[in-house]
Amino acid sequence: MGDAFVWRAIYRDGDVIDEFKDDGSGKTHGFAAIEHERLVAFVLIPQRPGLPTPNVMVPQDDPDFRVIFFRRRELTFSPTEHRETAPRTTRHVLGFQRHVGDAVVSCYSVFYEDGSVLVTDDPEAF
Amino acid sequence: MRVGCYTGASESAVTNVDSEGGGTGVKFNKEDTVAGTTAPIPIPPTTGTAFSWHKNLALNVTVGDSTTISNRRIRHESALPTGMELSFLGTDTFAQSAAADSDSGSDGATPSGYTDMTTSNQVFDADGVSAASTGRNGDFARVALAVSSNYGGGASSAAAVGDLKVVYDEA
Repeated sequence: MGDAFVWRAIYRDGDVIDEFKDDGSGKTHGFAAIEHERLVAFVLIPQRPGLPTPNVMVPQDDPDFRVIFFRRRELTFSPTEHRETAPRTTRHVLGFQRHVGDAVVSCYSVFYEDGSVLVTDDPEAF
Repeated sequence: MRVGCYTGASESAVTNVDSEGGGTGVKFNKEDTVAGTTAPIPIPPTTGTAFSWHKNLALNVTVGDSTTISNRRIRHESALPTGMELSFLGTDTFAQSAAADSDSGSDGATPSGYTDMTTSNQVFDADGVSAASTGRNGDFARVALAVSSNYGGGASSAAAVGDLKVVYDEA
């Protein structure tokens, strides 16, 4: 089963970068390919019914604002019995980092495969 | 993505030790093999801890992609039996499997430089590395098993150490 979400980055000038390249190759853009200084919105597009469409709108008056996105993948295996003992899991994490005074604050929204969501400022909480 | 166990004098020999698409399991022993049984870890007859040779585990990219892998972590799913302990050492340096440390005269010892594995995620390599190339991605987790004299499971080549979890971030 593929990932529950794929991303789309939208630039101020209307250009769009989709995670999956539109050349039919099935190849992807990495998140590192995004030009953050041009970004106006970052959207997760659900690939299954019933999931939300999370997004982050980038404030244009905050040059330090950064969108955060990654997939946290987990695999479980029995090294001695040679078998994976649970399905592989992926949590999609969308958030942002910004400066508040002298502090750098981050916020993460974690989207689980069952549709539940966790919002936290602790990257080790999920 | 697979989990590989690297053996031999260089890191060119890798055996995938998760089960996706085949592979083999790991037996913690005192030899440079993935699952050999000719050199088992003895249970110390008196107070002391015997260490396995370390297993070089690492993420192994089997299909390259444009993403970046980071924040590699490891844990075991549940506590091991009394007298058994897994530990790990994160390192970017390949070292052919050898004794993780000299056997100890105390029960419950940990090989020097290693960290006891727990049921919470512990980072063995936080750095971001492109997944564009196939092969090892990021540092090794050298994993070793310690068996103390108070291990009560008896001699067996089939003592299970329980499930391992490997967690990583991909973007």
